[in-house]
Amino acid sequence: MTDTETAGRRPARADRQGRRPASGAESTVEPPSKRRRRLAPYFFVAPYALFLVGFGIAPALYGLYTSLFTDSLGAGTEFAPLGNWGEVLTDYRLVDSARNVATYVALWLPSMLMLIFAIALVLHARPGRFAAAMRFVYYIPGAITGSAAALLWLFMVSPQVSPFSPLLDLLGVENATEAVSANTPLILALMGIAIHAGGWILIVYAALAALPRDVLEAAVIDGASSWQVAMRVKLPMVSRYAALILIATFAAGTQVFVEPTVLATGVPGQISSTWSINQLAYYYATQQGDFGKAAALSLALLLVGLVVALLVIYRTKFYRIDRGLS
Amino acid sequence: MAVPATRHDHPPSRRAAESARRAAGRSLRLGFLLACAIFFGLPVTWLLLAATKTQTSIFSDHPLSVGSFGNIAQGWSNLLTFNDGELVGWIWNSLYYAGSSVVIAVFLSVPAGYALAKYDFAGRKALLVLTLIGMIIPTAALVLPLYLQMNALGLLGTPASVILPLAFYPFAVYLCYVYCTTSLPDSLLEAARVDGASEATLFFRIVLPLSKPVIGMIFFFSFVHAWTNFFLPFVMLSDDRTFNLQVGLMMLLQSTDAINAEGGFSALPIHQPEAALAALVAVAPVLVAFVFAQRYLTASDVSGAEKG
Amino acid sequence: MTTTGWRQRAQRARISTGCAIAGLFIAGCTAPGASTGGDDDGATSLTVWVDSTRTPGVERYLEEHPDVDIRMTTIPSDPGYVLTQISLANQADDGWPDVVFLNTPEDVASLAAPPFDFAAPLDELVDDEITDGFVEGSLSGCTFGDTLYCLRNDIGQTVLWYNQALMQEFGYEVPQTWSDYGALGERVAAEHPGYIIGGLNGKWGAGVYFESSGCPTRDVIDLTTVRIDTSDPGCVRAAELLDPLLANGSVSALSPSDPAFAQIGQENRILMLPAASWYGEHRFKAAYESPAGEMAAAPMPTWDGEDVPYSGSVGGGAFVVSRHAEDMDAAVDFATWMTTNVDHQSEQPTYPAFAEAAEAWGAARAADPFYAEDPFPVMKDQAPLIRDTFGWVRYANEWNNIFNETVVAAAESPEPLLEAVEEWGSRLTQAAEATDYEVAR
Repeated sequence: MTDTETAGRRPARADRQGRRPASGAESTVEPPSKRRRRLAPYFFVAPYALFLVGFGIAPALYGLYTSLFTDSLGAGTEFAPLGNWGEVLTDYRLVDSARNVATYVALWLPSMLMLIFAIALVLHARPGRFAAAMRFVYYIPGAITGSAAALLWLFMVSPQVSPFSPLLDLLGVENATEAVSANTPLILALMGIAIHAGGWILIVYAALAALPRDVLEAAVIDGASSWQVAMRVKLPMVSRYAALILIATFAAGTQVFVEPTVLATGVPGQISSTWSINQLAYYYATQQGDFGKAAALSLALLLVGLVVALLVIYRTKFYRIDRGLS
Repeated sequence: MAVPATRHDHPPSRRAAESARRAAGRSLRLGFLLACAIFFGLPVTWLLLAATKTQTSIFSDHPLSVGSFGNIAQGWSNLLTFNDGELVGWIWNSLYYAGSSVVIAVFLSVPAGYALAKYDFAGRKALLVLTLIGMIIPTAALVLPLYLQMNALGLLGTPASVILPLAFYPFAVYLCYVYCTTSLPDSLLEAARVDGASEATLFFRIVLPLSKPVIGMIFFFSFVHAWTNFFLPFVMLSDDRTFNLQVGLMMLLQSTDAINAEGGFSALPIHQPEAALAALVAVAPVLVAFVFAQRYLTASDVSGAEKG
Repeated sequence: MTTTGWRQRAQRARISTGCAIAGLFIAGCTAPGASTGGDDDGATSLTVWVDSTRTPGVERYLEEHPDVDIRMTTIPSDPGYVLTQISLANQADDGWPDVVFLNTPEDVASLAAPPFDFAAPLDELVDDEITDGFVEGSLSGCTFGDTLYCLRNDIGQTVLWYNQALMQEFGYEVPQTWSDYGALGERVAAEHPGYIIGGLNGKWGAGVYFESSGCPTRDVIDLTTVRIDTSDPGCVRAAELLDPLLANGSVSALSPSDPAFAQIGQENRILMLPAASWYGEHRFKAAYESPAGEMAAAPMPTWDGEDVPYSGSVGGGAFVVSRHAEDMDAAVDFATWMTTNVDHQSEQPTYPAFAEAAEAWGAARAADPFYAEDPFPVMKDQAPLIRDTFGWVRYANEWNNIFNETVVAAAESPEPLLEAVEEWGSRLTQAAEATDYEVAR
């Protein structure tokens, strides 16, 4: 291994400013191994890139394209770059939906993130059968989906028949109708935690389990308490996972769809079918047959997620090729 | 992590205080984990018990009381009364769609995630950003484009129209990318290169074996992603015999009063206990997959030690 | 399953399996069955979408019409499924069914209008003799302006369900007018708290009290005009009737899906419930397992100043024929048969919209020991009395949701319900305008 070569390949400061190291800097006579190394990544990513373009980027671009056309009653299809976007962003339902989503995210996201890392770190402090069993238990609610989940959650929020009735009594909930309509964001946030936390716990735990042992053992020998090891050693080492989780959960939170839909299936009419922004986008597509509006609102949601994602990526140097572990 | 042996030289009084503190910490941790276990475990416990009850005892008995296990068998045969046992076909369809897409997804995402993490190449950042977009784009934007695409390819209504879009699972790429940057030491790769290993050898002989934990993760999460997917079959498939379990169960349950008190008119003996059983049937494969994925997790401890 | 349609479907599934693998490499696999063209020349071929409750009817139609080749698909009753699939087919310009059953018949208001433009006008295609055979007024939901866009399968006229045994035990008379009903509510609350005489939530409250009272919230004038006016006397009197009953608990605000409500039903604490005709069979009998020989149906009470006991409406399906059907006559024949065949309709779970079929349907149930007395005569009397202000609109979903968010949410507040009803009206106006209606008052 030559240090100069690694340094050259590492996207250093120059790269972050958008300039690439001049290709001419690479030697003119390339040894075969080096050429293989230059070409290898393209082989590795090619099949995936094909699917990325085919089922991700191309449809997204087509969605963007349809969002630029309006499809109004009687008038037919016409090109109106701001028509759908304007109508969607001034839709009388959007303010309510946005407020609902904001409340949900504010309740759900911080509490779930803390819970995920707390559980994963505590589990990792004593790995073993018990920890494995616990991960299993934490995961199960996330596996229950679809129409049958509607039944489950309806019963969970009904004090008369719920195993959680002491908790519901504490919240002053008297029946499912009230639980769902008067405490919607809270109930959905609890549901969202139960559904989503388990998968992330699994991921963070796996990340912790894959950390090099010597580093952790060294920390312990240095006399650090398990709390200190967790906060000062383990957490920073899984920071990229934290970034990934933040990006994915923020996007999932702002695009919340499953929880309100499932509960509304259980108690029809009690939660608006346009409760969340993403539900409003689905409503355009499925009830009004207006795919242009659906695409416009979805892409607006995507933009919100993307801004936060890029912020996280920039702050955590998420895309840097880093050799810290070597 | 075992209790460090280096602390044995503390004086007895400090040692007693220390061990008391540790015991307190241990019971605190245990209490926390068990409280969480109740929060996460109660719903499924209820679901299990609900399947053993009858339509009236599910309302009148204590939520955590046990009914009769004979009701489970009865419930299963009740579920099979819908469209001549179409349920079994949906299970096979789901296994087929999910199985195929998982294989493709793992094949696509592991090399891609590895390359993005360990090579610097033209288009790397673009690929990372596009993957990010693919990961967080709301599906409502894709309904029409994917439908028209499948229609143009002549694949509408075929399993391919579900399997292929499901196999594109950008989250798996990110998972592999993060794993490789965090846990795959460069020194190891460089050492192998110095020994004359080709890039392919490197990938198959060194990277793949060391990536077992993340492959297990990707296998598991892409399986869950495919198994629980509702939107693609809902949009792409218009023949009920080709439905997957999620769409099929929605159709089955909505035609009954189990979850549709405002208009489930089916005369079939399908009520709340049957719906609970249906939920268990839909969950079971995910839990089996989970147990498999767990094995890879424990294997990672070994690979972690290898790195030393 | 021995019909051609079923065999073809199985064959289609096999072809599809091959395509999944081939599709990875070749983009040439076509989806069989997406088009409506028949395989054998000469034979009539139809693609029909029905829910699982309607499949036995389709099979019976096939037995009687061996010359017709039917491709039947069982569709989910999920609201949105039909609309989604039709608009996707519109975009692809292919893949429409020839006939589709609507579980949420309000969808026809969307399907008949742009951008869907799917439902075929049926006036010219269905004989007057047949349309005249439907229960009076039952086709008004299918009619926009003067054009008929669907055939009604079943109707959900409301009746006053009551527990005869309990009423006798408590010494109550079945109320004839809504004033009597209100007075009885006060007595029940005082003498037998915990028992209920009605429900406000969702389609019940809006579809029973406000609709039977003629509160115009979805009064369809034509495909693009609707009348909404919640200051109408019809709305005021319903709100005033409900105020004290909600305060004293004799009318419940619980969702019909709420397990707390199911408990009321199972504990036999429903004294009266003005609700759809299908409530006897599908709620009291199947879900609440009410004791046999206790439930009975009475006519709806009449509103002050009127002598006709108007019904509200909750539920009922319809068949729509596609504009794109290649064999329009066959498609119309199928839809007509499904809605008017007496043998088939008499076995339907809910009250048939075709009058002659309704008679047979009632006769088949007359001897049911579940009821204290045969409820059919009352249902039959109420069937033509659904208030004509109840039309099918593109905002039917919001109609229900907003009602819950405004009127039901205000049920426990001391403010007069009328304020919430006005809020319901103004938000409905927004919803109507967002779905391309002009709102008249």
